[in-house]
Amino acid sequence: MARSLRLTPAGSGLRRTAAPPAARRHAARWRWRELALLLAAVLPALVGAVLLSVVWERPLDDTRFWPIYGFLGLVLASHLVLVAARFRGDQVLLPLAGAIAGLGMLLVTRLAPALAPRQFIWAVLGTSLMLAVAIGPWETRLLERYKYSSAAAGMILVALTLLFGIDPNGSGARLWLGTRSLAFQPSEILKVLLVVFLAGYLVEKRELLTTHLVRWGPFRLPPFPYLAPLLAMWALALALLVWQRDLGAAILFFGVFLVMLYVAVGQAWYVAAGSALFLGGGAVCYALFAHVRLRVEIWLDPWLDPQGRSYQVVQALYALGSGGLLGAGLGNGYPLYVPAVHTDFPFVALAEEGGLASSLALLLLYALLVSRGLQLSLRARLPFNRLLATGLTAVLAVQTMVIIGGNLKLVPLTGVTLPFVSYGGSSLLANFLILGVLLRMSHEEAELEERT
Amino acid sequence: MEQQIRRVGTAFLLGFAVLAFGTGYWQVWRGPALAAAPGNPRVIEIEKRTQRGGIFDRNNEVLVETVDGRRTAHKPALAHATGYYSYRYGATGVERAYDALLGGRQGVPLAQTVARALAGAPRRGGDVQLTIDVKLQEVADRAIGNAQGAVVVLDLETGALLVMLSKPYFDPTTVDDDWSRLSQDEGRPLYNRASQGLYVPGSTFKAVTAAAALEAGIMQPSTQVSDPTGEVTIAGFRITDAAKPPQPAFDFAHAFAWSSNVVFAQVGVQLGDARLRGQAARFGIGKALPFELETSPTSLSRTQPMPPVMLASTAFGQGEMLISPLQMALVAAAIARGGDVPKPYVVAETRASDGKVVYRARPSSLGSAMLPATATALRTMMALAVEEGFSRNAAIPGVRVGGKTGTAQSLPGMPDHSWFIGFAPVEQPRVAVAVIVEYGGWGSLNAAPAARQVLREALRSVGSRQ
Repeated sequence: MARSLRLTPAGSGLRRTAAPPAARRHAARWRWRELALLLAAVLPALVGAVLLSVVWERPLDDTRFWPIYGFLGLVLASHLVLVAARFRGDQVLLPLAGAIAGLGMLLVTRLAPALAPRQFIWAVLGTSLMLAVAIGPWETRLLERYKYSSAAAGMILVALTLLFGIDPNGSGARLWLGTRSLAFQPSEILKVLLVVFLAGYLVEKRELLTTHLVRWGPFRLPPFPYLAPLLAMWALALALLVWQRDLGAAILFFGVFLVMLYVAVGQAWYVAAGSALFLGGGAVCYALFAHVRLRVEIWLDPWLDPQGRSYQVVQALYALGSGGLLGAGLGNGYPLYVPAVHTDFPFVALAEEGGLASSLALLLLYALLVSRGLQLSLRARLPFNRLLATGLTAVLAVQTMVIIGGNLKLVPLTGVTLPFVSYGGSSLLANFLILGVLLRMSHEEAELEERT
Repeated sequence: MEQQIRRVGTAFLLGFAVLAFGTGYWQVWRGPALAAAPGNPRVIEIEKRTQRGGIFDRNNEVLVETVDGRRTAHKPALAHATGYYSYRYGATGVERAYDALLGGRQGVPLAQTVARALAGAPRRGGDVQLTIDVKLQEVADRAIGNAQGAVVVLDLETGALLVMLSKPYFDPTTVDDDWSRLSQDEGRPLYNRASQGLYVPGSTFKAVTAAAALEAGIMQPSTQVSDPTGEVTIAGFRITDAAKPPQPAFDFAHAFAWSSNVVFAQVGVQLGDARLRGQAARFGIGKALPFELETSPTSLSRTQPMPPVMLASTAFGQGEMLISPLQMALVAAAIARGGDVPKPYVVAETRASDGKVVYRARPSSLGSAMLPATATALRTMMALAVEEGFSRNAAIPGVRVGGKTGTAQSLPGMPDHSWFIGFAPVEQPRVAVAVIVEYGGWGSLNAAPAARQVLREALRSVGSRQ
């Protein structure tokens, strides 16, 4: 059905979307549902602040808690901006992301109070970016035109990181650009650029990829020129793994790529072949490179060297195990025994202090956010928008699964952040950007629906 | 496309479900083990934040408490009963056996659990009250003097330990600082001789052999026996008395009182392995005693069945026997209680941090070791040993004491270990005692006088209680 839509001249209806007079039919457009959900969404972080003030024996108006209050205010302010702008898009996305990011702000305050103000400033920038994208004078489908520019920008970023990458916090991988005091992680921007490129490219080529098959031995494959960019993706992922030692980004990019390929082309066969290729490449890297081998060995048996190389993983398991059902209570656990807990293991910190109840609640919030994102992509009428929404949601989903899976020793541990929760500016910015695009898309669809 | 997106959605939700199960696995299934794992730094952190409970004696005198975060033991003479508690070296004694209660992980009132969960109030542990009487323990300590050894005193009404002394002892408060010295000391101060020390019981074991002979009907206290030369040869092996009896022929009761090895060797051979082993087992010998603290398994002999020579020497208390002072105290207690072996215990009650009693000891029995008539006969024989025999040094003016000394070979070239087991008063026994003084020489010289002091004080103490 999507195909027929794409073939209709999308012009008139969509163009009118952006026309101001149509949107100004009502003086104000209250978003009661969003407001009600938001009031519920800010509660966990607020209760957390109260608990921390009791445990730390600091008054509730202590400067330490300002970033939490500030962030909750920021979310409510975002709501008001959306109301004022007569925004018509989805009313569930912001409360979900707000609840998750609120917990994130609370955890950063708990785990690294000195860094919380910084995280708050990034959150201000992030929500501003989100609002600008959500209500700004543009259309999502225009992004389709910039697919190759996105790809080029992405390549430049990768090249720059390979050449000038720095490692400001001694993680062992040079994944940042900038100076020691102000660095950003290009892979966070890269993942958005990648989705834009893939959505555009796959929409354009998907018929060719499914219909013009040629026989290659026992397989029926698309002609090589169409296949080449896909192989390039595979090469990019492996290059990240080998040169940048960034297993997380490699899995994330390749996973998102496979999801989008499957949605565009509709053949599970590609996913299977792609996964096999990636695993095969991974196996070769395992044989060739010591740092890959070390990662995998730590993953398979962290108890071999609990005081040395697998210290972090083992400490994380202790933290998880000490949480139990209801947890030690916020501020009452010892999550700081896990090195880099505020960037790599915030999930584990929550699990220790909030118990299984809290960690399951956070997982549920992510699952709801991801389902909401996919619902939006189902509602989208343009194939490009569909792919874009699926891709962006897949970024959130795969990234969450890769890092939490690593925390839980289900997959090898990687350095990707937990969306909206981990300390880190680039990550927060990129995730709010994703949220902004999704909101924007839902707004356009709502406008379109009203018209037809 | 739509179908694919739905499938992707299903796959993602499955992925999150796997994460949920993974979290549940680590937090709940593996949780308790990980939370208590020795490598988990939280174990010590939580211990440090816990207000650990106290240990008290039977009159509620404070033995061990936490003062300004430091575990402080006030009575080093009780070091082996209370044990030590160290972040570095773990715990022993009651500190170990009741760690969960003392550390506030068990028997915590609901209100406190809620307060802890909500406001993070530090954990508070419960208290343990022992059956030990500190005053009596100190008397026993002085009675032994500077020697190595052990004293066990049992309240015959209940089986409660009034004294559990093991020397040398140590100061549990400073165990972290003293560790290298304590762990290397040849006197093995960390080791609880009373319940874990294994010794050859010497002639005190004749009480067990006599019980077997009386039960088997081989002997009556009045049965005439003879030991004219002070020696006998069994299966080519010469057995001698430590001291020749004052007359050549006498009854079995005097053979016990004068500790005739010659008579008991022959009784042992006559009894045979099964009957002697069976009798010993009814006293509890041959396994580890049930007790709140660690006990070592005792044994009659590694060789089984025992050949005649070993039967003979086992019967008068040498051989391959390995028996603890606590076990020998139970032998005396069983004789004094008409054959009933009490279950020994050292913890009177445990209390939650709010003072509510969690557990109160209920006296019980390990079974009957002999017929009441046998016990009565043995009681008379043990009284005779103190009044006319070699155990005279245990006599207390105005009180009839029943007892038996023992002298057990120690290391080659070193003086023998000196033993005494007994009870008082003979007419209606209230307390039983076992004393061993390592390298103390003759039982009558060292152990018996120490036992006398302890018994006298113990009678005064239990007498004042009624």
